[in-house]
Formats: sequence, structure tokens, C-alpha cells
Amino acid sequence: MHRFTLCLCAVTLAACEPPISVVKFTTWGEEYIEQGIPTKMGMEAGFEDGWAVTFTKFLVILKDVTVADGQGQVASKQPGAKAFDLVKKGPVEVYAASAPAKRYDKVGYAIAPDDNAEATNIEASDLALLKSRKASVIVVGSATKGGVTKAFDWSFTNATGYEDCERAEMGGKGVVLTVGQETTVQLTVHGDHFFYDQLGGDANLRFEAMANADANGDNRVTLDELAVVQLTSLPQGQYGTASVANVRNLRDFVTQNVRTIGHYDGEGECVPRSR
Amino acid sequence: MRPVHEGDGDDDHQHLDGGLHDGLAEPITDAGVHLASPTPMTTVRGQRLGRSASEVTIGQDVLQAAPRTGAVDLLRLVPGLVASQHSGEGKAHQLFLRGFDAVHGQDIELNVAGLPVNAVSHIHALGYADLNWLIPEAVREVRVTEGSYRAWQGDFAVAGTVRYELGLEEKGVTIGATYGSFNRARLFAGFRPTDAPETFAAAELVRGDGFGSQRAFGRASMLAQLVLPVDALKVRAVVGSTVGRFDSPGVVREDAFVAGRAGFFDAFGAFQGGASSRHQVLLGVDVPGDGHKTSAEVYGVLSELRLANNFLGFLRTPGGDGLEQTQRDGVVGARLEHHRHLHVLGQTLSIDLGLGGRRDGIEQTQRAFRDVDGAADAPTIDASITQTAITAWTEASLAPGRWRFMLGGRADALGFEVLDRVGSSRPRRSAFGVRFGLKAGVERQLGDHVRLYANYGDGFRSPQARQLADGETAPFVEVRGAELGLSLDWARVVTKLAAFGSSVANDVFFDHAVGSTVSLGPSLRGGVSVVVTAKPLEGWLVSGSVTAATARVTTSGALLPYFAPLVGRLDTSYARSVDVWGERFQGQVGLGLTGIGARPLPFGDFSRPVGLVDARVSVRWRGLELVFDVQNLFDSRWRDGEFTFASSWEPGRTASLLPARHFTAGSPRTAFLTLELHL
Amino acid sequence: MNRLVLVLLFSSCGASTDQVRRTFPLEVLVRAPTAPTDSGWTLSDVRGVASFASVRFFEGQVLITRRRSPLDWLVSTAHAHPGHYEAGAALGELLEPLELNLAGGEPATWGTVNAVTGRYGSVELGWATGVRVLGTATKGSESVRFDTGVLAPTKPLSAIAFEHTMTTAEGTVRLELDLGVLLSRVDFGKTLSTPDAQGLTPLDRASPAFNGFERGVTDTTSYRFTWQSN
Repeated sequence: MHRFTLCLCAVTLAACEPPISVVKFTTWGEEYIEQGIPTKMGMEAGFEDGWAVTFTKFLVILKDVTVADGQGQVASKQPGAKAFDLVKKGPVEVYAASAPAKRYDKVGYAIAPDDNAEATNIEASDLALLKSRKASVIVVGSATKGGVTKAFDWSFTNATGYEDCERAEMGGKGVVLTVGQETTVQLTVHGDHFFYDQLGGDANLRFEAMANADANGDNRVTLDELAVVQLTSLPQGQYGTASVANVRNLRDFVTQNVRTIGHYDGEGECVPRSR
Repeated sequence: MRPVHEGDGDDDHQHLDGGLHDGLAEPITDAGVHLASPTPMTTVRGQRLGRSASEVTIGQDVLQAAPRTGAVDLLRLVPGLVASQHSGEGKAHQLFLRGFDAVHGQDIELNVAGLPVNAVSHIHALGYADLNWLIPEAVREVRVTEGSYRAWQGDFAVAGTVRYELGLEEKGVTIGATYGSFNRARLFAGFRPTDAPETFAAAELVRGDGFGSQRAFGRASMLAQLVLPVDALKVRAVVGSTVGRFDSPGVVREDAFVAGRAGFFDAFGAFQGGASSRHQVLLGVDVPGDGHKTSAEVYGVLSELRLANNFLGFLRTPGGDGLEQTQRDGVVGARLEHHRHLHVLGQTLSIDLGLGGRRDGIEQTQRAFRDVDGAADAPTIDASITQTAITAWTEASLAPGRWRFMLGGRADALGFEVLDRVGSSRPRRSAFGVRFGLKAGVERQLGDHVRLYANYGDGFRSPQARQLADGETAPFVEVRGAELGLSLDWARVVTKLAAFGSSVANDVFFDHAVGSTVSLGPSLRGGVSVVVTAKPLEGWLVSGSVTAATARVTTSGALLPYFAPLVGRLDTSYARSVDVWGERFQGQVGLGLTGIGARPLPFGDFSRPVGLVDARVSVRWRGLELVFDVQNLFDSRWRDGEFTFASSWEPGRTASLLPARHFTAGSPRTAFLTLELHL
Repeated sequence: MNRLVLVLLFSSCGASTDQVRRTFPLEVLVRAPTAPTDSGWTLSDVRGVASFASVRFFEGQVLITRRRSPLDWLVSTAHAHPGHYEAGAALGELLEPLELNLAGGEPATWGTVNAVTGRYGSVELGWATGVRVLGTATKGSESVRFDTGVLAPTKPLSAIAFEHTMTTAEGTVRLELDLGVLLSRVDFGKTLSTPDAQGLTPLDRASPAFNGFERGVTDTTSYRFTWQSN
């Protein structure tokens, strides 16, 4: 078929639509979600304040993976939604799109609740949990410092679109589909973003304020407990809200941070928009 | 004053990419083609019959009519072309033609006697075409093919193709010494052993302080060509080497100049300038036959460039936004061409076939440097590129009666192998792409003096290799162009009129001053040009052209920035001999007038129009010649380049970050005296 | 340096062909607090002065994740990338200082902004001497006459949202300084200070009250930019 197409091009000397190719979108939570986020050691990134975090569940619903050209012409869009547990070994396939082999500048996806999300590598009970909580993201895990361990089980209902994704390198806009090759693009989820201490500017990873939010001392930090902690009670220079309105407490803050967990091919970025 | 050299007639078979230099003054006339009266062609220089009204040959008499300090000054004789320098005497010029801002060559294919000038995937700008190495005395003529209507026109022939043919005008040894304004000094030596002008050797050494701070430069070049008949064959060899360095003043902020904080000829930014070298060789052979001719050429070019510029000041970083780029390019290539006449149904079918291959091995880097001490950071680009082009083209023409029909096509395959050592998750990438282009033309002779042309052609520009993804089908910038033309040769006057238009499907605006690329979508260009060459009286030459063009984004109708909407050029000279006391003195006076209309700039700005007058007076007695050249005779204060972009030259102060006008100062009045000895 | 490379190589924010220069007026309106603070204090007689040096409009939208340069990618360890904003190209600026009376009233004219058309995303406010706010906070029977300020902030207020496609249409940009938002986090019961001789209570810099004040000053939602068509 491809040979025929090429021959036709040669005969007519005209521009031809390129042959169909495939781009496979996968998702991965990287070592931070699969193995945990360590304490900062020298040049090695990690928590500034001595804490370390591990996840036992990192449930996320991915949907609306879209491939479009520079003019916004959609070549392929993921039907439905899929739920993943990113603590399990990845990467895991999300969606395989077929489209003519050429450059697509606009690629995006969404992390959003969906009552009809399908299971992938996720336990049925966890999928039910996502649906019952109307959640897009559920993180379950614990933070440790010295002999102290604080557990957390947080659900978020944010619906966030990640648009105009770019890889973290030159010319990394969108994706280029090539003839005869299957292209793989990773929708990377950054688990450490929950613990950023700034909504704008340079941020560090911190858990101390969250650990201190455990008001009842049961070593479980709930979102309700985080909601009690006003940012004004925290040191200046930490938990700055920048341009985000109505962020008053740690629950608001971590909920806002959820919007930035979606990335593209590792360190690549997308434009996050509330849905 | 130069001895007159007769014209070459309808020598239409000296091509560029895929086309060969055929041995110069040995025209092949297509059988069955009705030629215009040869009379004007033997008396009026600077014209030739081509396959469109936009094919023009600029001969020695026009080239020598007014002062030319370098090969780029010769390029300025191309109808409608503007060449602007914004980084000192050593960097490639910025070129504008037919509504295109060709930046440093991306839309104009340049070639010297078969040696390609445009550099593919250049770190500074696509198609970077440095002509500073070319010794102007060694240029025998300039062949201009505007548009992209010919099948032999290759990569970067979007607005057109310019080819320099080499040769030395005078037999024997010529030695020249020039000194003039701003301590510009030049030594030239040339040698032509035979009556044929194309076999020669020449060298130049030139240096100067420049007309303002940070403008000093120095350069040495040698260039030689040998054309040798071997039995029925004609063998040709070209060798050349050049090395130079140059300082660059950068750009002046207009508001700083207007406020008196900066002088017109000031420099903005330290440690700017660069160095370049180029070494090249070409070997060719023509094999004539009965009704056909086959030619072959191989060539190699080694070139290096280091370029340091800071156009942004301290806009992005407190230490300054200097950027140093380096490029090392090794080119090897070959061309084969076959020209044949076939008799079909009582008509002569003329066929040209061409094949070409070219490999570029490129090493390029880019790094930031500090304005304070010039210290450079780690490279942000460090790449190796192998770019290979394979080309095949054909033209077939049939000329029944007073008609001529031409149909041609061209195929180009490009392969890229990239190793990006910095900042890429896939450092090794390869890409491949193929394109096909159509060429067509119809000509009609009316009477003895008028010829009409209609032409169509697809042109292209290869992409920047480093921007390609692994496995990507390499995209080309494609242009589709058409033209209606008329040539009129009558009573010692040759006039050519052309109305041209072109469309680019996916145009981009590359603002190389700030390094930004804006995708524009489709764009349209159009215009008209008039070229007149005449010898009204014996010894008096007039050659002029006016080109009007427009260029717009198709969707928004917005004018494209920087292109030259109106360009006029007039060169005139008068030469005669006078006998005094039994001795013959040959004298010449010449004028060159340049007019460039206001050019659109980004954000609705327009540049200032430019008007310049150059003058030349020369006198020769026996083998001794004295030439007095003045450029910018009326000392016009003019801006060679004008740009609109954001910069900041007041670190620590509250300065404007908005796009601002910047300019590069044009040369003030300069005068040079040259003494030449002809032995 | 990294950012330089980023802009030089990738920026699509350079000169565009259909953008043109224009000017537009910038007016400023101070909104007095209309609701109690988060901690239940009712504010009255709020006054003072905010001293700005400049205002600049940028194309970068707020909440755009930061584009990273190749060198960032190379030298930084994984996941060490914070930030959600890149200013991009400047599209407008007013470099005249403004002493803004916080007592409020009718919109005041700051000046004329030199600008170009295009898609605006954010604004940066440059401080001159800073901001000083005085007023009375009342909660039940408790009343605090406060006097506090932030002097000479070193960083401008950047990434203030202003999404507008600026054409050549006539209009005005309005800056509303919302003292309600600016003071909303201040708990005047936690000033860690006592009134001075004039009965004015400063906010101790280590106090939760000052913490809330400073967060309010740097909260970019305290400053709302809107386009007002003529």
C-alpha cells in the first residue's frame, strides 16, 4: 500500500497524504510513584525537610488523549476513559492512535473523573473507589521521618486538561508520526508535585507542615486536617499562592498542586486548564 | 577601465545545481530555436536571451561601471536584490529579493562557477551564503535567473538563482594597490596567461579599520581557474582559499541614538564579530558529441565560521545575551548533465538531463557568552549533521516556428543524520524526504524585436536538520511561482518586463536577530520588474532596473516584515580614448545609483527609504591605470539594516522591554584610490 | 542563560507580522473591603499608599507550566522543576511611577501604556517604595487601629492574570486593587504588638497577622486587571 502511494506521488508529481502510522500513548508514574520520593541528599532531589514518601496506591483516570495538527485539525481522539494504578510497574498503554504520518503540533489529554472509566492495571475495588468518590486522582501512602510515619489517603475531584504538550527538548512540540514506525509517547505523572511548597516560582518538596496537620495524632493526615492549617500559620516564604485565588489552607494548596501532575514524555510540559 | 568583451549570445546551458559550466565563450544554440536578432546581443552587454524574461546576464562593462568593493556589490546589480550587512565585513549579507526576506541566503541559490555557496542546515541561518571570499576582479559575469522556473535550479532557489562566472578581463599580469577611507588597504594580483579570460589566477589581501568602532577586518583570498582543451574534451579546474576575521558593532537602538545616548556609528555589545575560512576545489570535463554534449563535475568545499553577536543586550540575562555560534562544513558533490537534440516529426526536440549528489558533513555549536569579559558558557547546541541530497531533473523543449514550449521536472531526495549532543532525549536522529517539482514555459517571438514569455515553476528550500524528529518525513518549504514576461530589443536597447507571483504553502518568518521563528501559514508574493540595458552612444552604457514587490500572509493579509517593496538600481558609464602628445589615454566616468523604498518592519513600522550615489573616475595610460572610487558620494546618513525587536542595553535600570527600532549604520562617504599595473 | 537559550531557540513570541503598535490608558481603582476578613474582622477607614514604579504586560499566561530549556533538562535532577509561569515577550509597559492613595474613590489615571497588539496573558507590577496600609479592624468589642506596610519589596509582583486579545479597538485597562483580598488573611488578634503613642498598632513582622498581610500583598489576585471597552 505504501509503495503504491509513493508510486502514485511520483507519477502525479503532486503532494500526497502520507500513509497511516501509529502513536502509542502510555502512562508512567516513574520511580517517584512506583518506589517513593526520598529525602534530599546532596545534589539528589527530594524532600527538603527530612521526610520521605512512598505510595501504596496512585489511582488516576486518563481521558481525551487528542492528536491534532498545527491548525487544530484533530487526527485522533481517545474514546472513553481509562483508570490506572501508577504504583504498579509501568509504563502502561493508554491509547493507540492511528493517523497519517506527519508532524502534529497539538497533543493533549485530561485527568478527570469519569463514571464510565475502564479498568486497566487497576483493581476492581480501586476503580469502584474512584467512581464512588467522583475522583480523578486518589493517592494513598505514607511519609516517614526518623521513627515517625504519617499515612495519607487523599481523593481529588479536579478535572484538568493538559493541552499543547511539548517534550523537554528542542522541537518537542506535539508528536511526529513516522512512516513504518510505531511512535511511543508517555503521559508522565509526577507524584512529587503534591508536595511542592509554591504555586509559582521556585518550589521545594516539603511534608513537615502536612505532618504537623495531624491534629488528632493518629498518624493519619486527612484532607480535612489539612484544611484546618491556614497558610498564614506557616513560615513566610513557604506555601506561596502566587496568582491562584482562594487558596487559604493546606488542603486548598495540595488540591491546586494536583493540576500540575500531568506531564509529557518525562519532563515535558503541557498547559493545564481547569475543566 | 576594462577592455570590452563581447557577449555570449544565447548561451543557455550554464546551469547550477545539476547544470554545468560548459566552457564559457562557446555557446550552444538549440537547433530549431528562433533567436532574436543577434545585433543587440553583440553590442549591448548585460543581457542574454533566456527561458524567461527574468534571466539576465550582467557583463563586465556593467560590473565595472561604478565602484564595487566586493562580490556582494556585484550582487547588488541583480534586479530587485537588496544586500544588507549587519555584522561587520566578514559575515554573509542579508538578502532580499522579489518579496522574500532571504535572511542569509535561504531563498536565493548562489553559486560561483559550479561551487555551491549556500550552506545547508547552517547554525546561524538556513542557506547561509557568504560571498566575502570572492575576488570581484575574478568575476567575468553574473548570471541571474529570478524565480524558480528552470529545472536545474536547486535547493534555496525560491526567489531565484545567481551564478557568478569566473574570468579575468585582461591578459597578462595585473597588480593593484588600493588605499582609502578608514585605512582600508587592498592589494590585488592577477594573472591570465592566454587570450581566454577563464583561465586565470588571482589573489587579494584586504584590511581596514571600518567606518566606526568594532568594524575592523582583514581577509586574504586566492582563486584560480584553469580551462584546458584536451583533444575534444574540455577540462576545467577551480581552486580557491580564503581566511578572514572581522569585528562587529552589533545594532544601535534607535531611541538611544535619537536621545543622544548613542552615536550613529556606535557599537552595542562587546566581543562581537567572528572569523571564517573557506577552501574549495572543482574539477569538470565537457565531452562534446554529434548533437549532444555530456558534462561532469566534482567539487569539494571546506568552510568554517565562528560568529559572535549580541543583539538583545541584557534582555534575558544580567550578564548579557551574547551568542557564539560555530559551523564547520565539509561539502563534496558531483553533477552530471547531458544535453541532446532529437528530431521528432520534423521538429527538433531539445532535451537536458541532470543528476546531482551532494554530501554535507557539519559540526555546529552554540553557546552564550558574557558581555563583560566574553567568557562563554557550556554549549547549548553541539551537533553533528550529515545531510545528503540526490537530485535528478530534466527539461525538454520544442520550438515549432516562432513558438517554444518547455516542460521540465525535478526530483530531490534529502537524507539527514543528526547527532545532538546536548538536550535531546533522542540524540541520534535520521530523517528522509522526497519532493517533486514541475517546470513549464511558453515563449513566442513577435517580429524581430519582441519575445513573450509565460513561466511556471516549483521551488523549494530544505529544512534545518536539527529540527527534524527521528523518522520524520523531511518537510520542504515549497514555493509555486509564475511569471509573464516580455523582452524587447531594439535600437541598442534591451528591455525586459516581468510580472511575477508566488505562493508559499507553509511560510515561516525567521527573525534571526532574536532567533525566533513564527509560523505564518500560507503567504503570497507578487510584483513587477523592468530591466533596461542600453548603449545610446558609443562608449556610453546605461543599465538599470526597477522592481516593485509585495508580500502578504494569505490568511490575515498582513504584510510580511522586512521584504523590499521597491528597489531601483541605475549604473551608467562613459568611456572614451583620447590621444595626447601621441599617447593614448583611456578614460571612464561612471555612476551607480541605488534606491530602496521603505521596507515593512514588524509591529507596523516601516524602515526609512535609502538613496545612494556612487561614482568612479579612471584613466589609463599604457599599462598604468588610476581609479578613483567614491561610494555614498553625498555622504548620506543611511541605515543599512533596520529591525524591530526587544532589547535591553541598560542593565539594572528600568528600561523598555517593548519591541524597539534598531539599525545598523550604512557606510558614510568613502573614497579609494587604486593604482593598477598591467603587464 | 538557560532561559536565553530557550527564547532564542523556541520562542514563537518574536515579532509577528500582523501586530501593530498602539497605546491605551491605564486607570486604577481601589476597592475598599466589603466583607469581614477570614478571621472575622470588619475593616473600616482603610487608607494608605501603594507606590508602584512600573507596569508591564506580557504574553505569558498564568498557570502555563514552565517550558524548560535543554540545559535545564541536562543538568537538573529529575522532578526538581518548580514553577508554573513564563512571562514571555513584553507587549505593553508604563514606566512612570504611581503613588496610589488607598483611600479609594473614583478611578484614577495612571498613564498611557505603550503597547503592541496581540494576546495578553499576564501583568507585572513593579514596586517603588512599597505599600503602607492603615485602618481600623473590629471584631465584636475588640478594635484594632493598625498601621503596617511592606517597604521596598525586592521582587516585582509578576504573573498577575490578564487574558485579553488586544486589538486596535479603543478601550482602557483598569487595575483594581482589592483591599478586601489584600487584608483578608490578616488576623488582627495576632499582631504580637501593642499600640504606640498614637494608638496605632503595628504588625510585628514575626506575627501571624503580618504573615497574612504579606501574603495578601503578594497574592496577585489582590490586583485585578480588566479591559474596559469604550
